[in-house]
Amino acid sequence: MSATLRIEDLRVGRRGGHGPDLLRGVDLELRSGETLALVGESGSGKSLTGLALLGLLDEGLELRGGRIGLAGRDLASLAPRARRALLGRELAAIFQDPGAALNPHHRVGPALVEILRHRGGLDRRAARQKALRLLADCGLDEVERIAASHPHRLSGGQKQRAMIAMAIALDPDFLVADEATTALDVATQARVVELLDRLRRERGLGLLFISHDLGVVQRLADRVALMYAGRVVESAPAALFFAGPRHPYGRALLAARPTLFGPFERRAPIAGSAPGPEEIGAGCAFAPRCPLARATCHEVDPPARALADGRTLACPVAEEGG
Amino acid sequence: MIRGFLVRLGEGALTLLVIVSLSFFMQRLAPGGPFDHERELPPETRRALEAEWGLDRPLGEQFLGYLGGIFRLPPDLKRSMTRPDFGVTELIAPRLAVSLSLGLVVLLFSLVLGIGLGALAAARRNGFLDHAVMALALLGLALPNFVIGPLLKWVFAIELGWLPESRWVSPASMVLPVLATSALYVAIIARMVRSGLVAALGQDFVRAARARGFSERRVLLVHALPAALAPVIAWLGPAAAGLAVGSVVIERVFDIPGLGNTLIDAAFNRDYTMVMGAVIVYSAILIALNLLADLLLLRVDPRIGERR
Amino acid sequence: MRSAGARFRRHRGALVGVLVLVLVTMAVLLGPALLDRPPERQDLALGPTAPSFAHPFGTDYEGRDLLARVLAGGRISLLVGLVATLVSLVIGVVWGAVAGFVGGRLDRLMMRIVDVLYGLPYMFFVIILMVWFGRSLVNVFIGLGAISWLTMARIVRAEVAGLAGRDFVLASRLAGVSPLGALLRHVLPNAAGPIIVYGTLTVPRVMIEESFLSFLGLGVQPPAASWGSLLAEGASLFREYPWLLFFPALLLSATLLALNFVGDGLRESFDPGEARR
Ligand SMILES: Nc1ncnc2c1ncn2[C@@H]1O[C@H](COP(=O)(O)OP(=O)(O)OP(=O)(O)O)[C@@H](O)[C@H]1O
Ligand SMILES: [Mg+2]
Repeated sequence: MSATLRIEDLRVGRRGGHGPDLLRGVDLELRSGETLALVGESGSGKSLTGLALLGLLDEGLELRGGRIGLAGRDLASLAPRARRALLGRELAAIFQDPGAALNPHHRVGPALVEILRHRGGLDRRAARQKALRLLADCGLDEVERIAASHPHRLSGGQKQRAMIAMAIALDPDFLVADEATTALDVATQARVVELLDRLRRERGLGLLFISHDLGVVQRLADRVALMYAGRVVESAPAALFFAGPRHPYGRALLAARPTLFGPFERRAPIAGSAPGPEEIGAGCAFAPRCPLARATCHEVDPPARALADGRTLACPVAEEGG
Repeated sequence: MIRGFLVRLGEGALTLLVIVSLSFFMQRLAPGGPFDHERELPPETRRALEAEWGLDRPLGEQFLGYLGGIFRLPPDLKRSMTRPDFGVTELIAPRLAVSLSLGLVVLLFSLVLGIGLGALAAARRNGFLDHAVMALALLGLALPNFVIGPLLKWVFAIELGWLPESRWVSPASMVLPVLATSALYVAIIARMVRSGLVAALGQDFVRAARARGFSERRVLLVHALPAALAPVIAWLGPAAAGLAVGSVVIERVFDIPGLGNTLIDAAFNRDYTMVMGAVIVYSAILIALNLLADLLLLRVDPRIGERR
Repeated sequence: MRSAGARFRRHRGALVGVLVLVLVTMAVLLGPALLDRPPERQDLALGPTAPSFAHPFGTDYEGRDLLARVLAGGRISLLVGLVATLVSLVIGVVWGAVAGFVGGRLDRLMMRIVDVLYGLPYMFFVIILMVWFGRSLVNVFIGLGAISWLTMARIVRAEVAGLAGRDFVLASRLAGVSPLGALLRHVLPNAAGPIIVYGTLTVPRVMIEESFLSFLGLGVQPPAASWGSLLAEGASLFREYPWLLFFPALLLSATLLALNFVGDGLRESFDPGEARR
């Protein structure tokens, strides 16, 4: 059975209605068994999208609108308690810094057992056995020793694998991975990415993969969504996207990719910098930096439209240009 | 880890030695002595007394003699100078039992109530309950216990007649002294736990716990609380020391036969051996408690052991 | 980046605290002169009377005007708070600065001594010393100051150790400034924030400890009085004459609360990220 997660017009802003929207209507669609990569420069709202989806926004922020459709429900209008209860079972998450995301006071094994017992309803013995199986399944050796260790005793890769084991413990349908490999060294990174891909395949996991690393995204993603200043400006099947994005921002981004090694942020990809949430005017947020911008671009923010080849694109100029 | 423990033990013994020496010599340097009564003693009686207690010998020799007594099993604390029919140990033991039980009950009560209130305030942060709890805590910080004590006594013992007024005889008679002594500690612990929890709630591992679908209560109590408790445990040693001193006042207010006032009375009477005995007992207990708190801290936060 | 001053001004509790402190200080400094009622003038025929127009705070057992006594007592309490804090400041800053600046073994030894001292009932020593060496105000200052420096030493050490390795300090050393000069001119001024914050929070603690000594009859000696000794008196008589407890308690608590508020406000303005260490 394949489930679908559908995010429509998601809006997030500061609590109390002050200030501009930080997410200005995000649309995304993700099927289980698929990987959707969320890319875009720092501050474009990737993490906020993930957190809003999970219902774990910081206390200072609130959902201002939108729908999060999952299995016939709208998560956005669910009571907080009911919504929390879905986490782990239907939606799970792993975060950037596994060192900070594992509780330093809890050993790995008991932390997993806690999930399996309190959320999964297993008894102590079954939970223990399953915990070890999960650790092994996430590619860890010496699972007994690791289960008995405090997190500070583990390497970065081991920590992230343990985090993944905890995330998939209740066999969720969807997993949000927010820069889950950024804090790791290159070799470890590659192995963790492989693990995520295998879990997606074997368990039919839908992966929302937030990343800056276009190389990894190209290897992993079925579909890519490109964010700019709180909106998804283009979304396309991965092959199409890497063959040539249509949105001018996507083109600039891809053109600026480093040819071999090195983080792509180093090379200032596009003249100017992304506007802060306060600086966005009426028109397209990218217009001030856009080589194709016309007068109307500065006046109306273009809606995203589905194209025939499976893309959605929020740039009428690029759409015309073919 | 065992090595660390032994080092601590050695430090503790050294501390005790320093305290004993300081008290011994300070006491002798201070004006006055155990045989200065209102009525002047005849010189020969006085000399005889001093000879009997060995006070006529060189100070260094007296000191070594005293040390020899205490670093032995069982330690010999000598007889009381003002009540020579009794040994110091014998006089101190029952009072120590009273003080220890008061201190222990207060500590447990403060921990339970303080952690509970702190957690409640953190769970309802910036809400009405939070503000109410924190306002109460400030009051606990700003009112000395010798004001809280008599007030409690007045309301509950005299006006309402619900509880006995004083002495440490029945469980009911312990309620008011425990409440009066605990107020300060409940306040301090509640404030520490609240701010520790609020800080912990912003941590990544708490967000990760939420992402696993645990209830907010479980997140707070199981995942955030250990981080908030570490400072409380680190503070238990000093707290016990403060408690020892604070109970002197409570013992007076509620007429409890504890060790604190024994020490002060002995100091007034220049009862050299009693002062030394009480100082040694207090210091030994507190040094042991500090050691215990250190070990406990190691269990709560395993990273500490490796950093040192 | 807003300055510490601007952040402090946004802190409402701290501003109320400052206001209370200013009012209390002015009252205890100027009040006795304006009252033309010496606090020690007895009126045994009058005895204890409830608050009235002639005696707004009432009178005590010997018929002394409580308002005059409370104001005079406030002088002593505030003085004890300030001077003992100053004593603790000097010891703590010197101890912490030496440990932090010299570093290495000496640092470890000095801080370990602080750790060990932390867990001892030093108030007992003050009490005993007051018994043995006399109950003068100077002894109160020294005794309370001598036991209140531990936390200050820790804070100063942490600051100084952090600053000592920073570029601007190293640069001044390379420019030929002596270690002491670098410490005094570059390191300590930069550690001023935490020193001020913790100093402010030491004052109420010392004042409570003074009241403690007074309760045991070891603090300020009659006929002089402090809030602590007035409280002690009030606590023993409050069933018949509740005002004797109420007014000293009110002033002491208000001052302690105000100091705590100001200290918290200062801490948050100097160190906005961290609510409490
Ligand atoms: N708690 C918050 N309060 C106020 N603004 C916030 C908060 N969290 C994020 N923002 C703002 O929302 C915008 C989007 O942030 P977000 O963290 O989603 O970016 P991102 O795309 O994940 O960036 P990065 O690649 O650096 O992780 C930014 O402008 C950020 O400043
Ligand atoms: Mg992010």
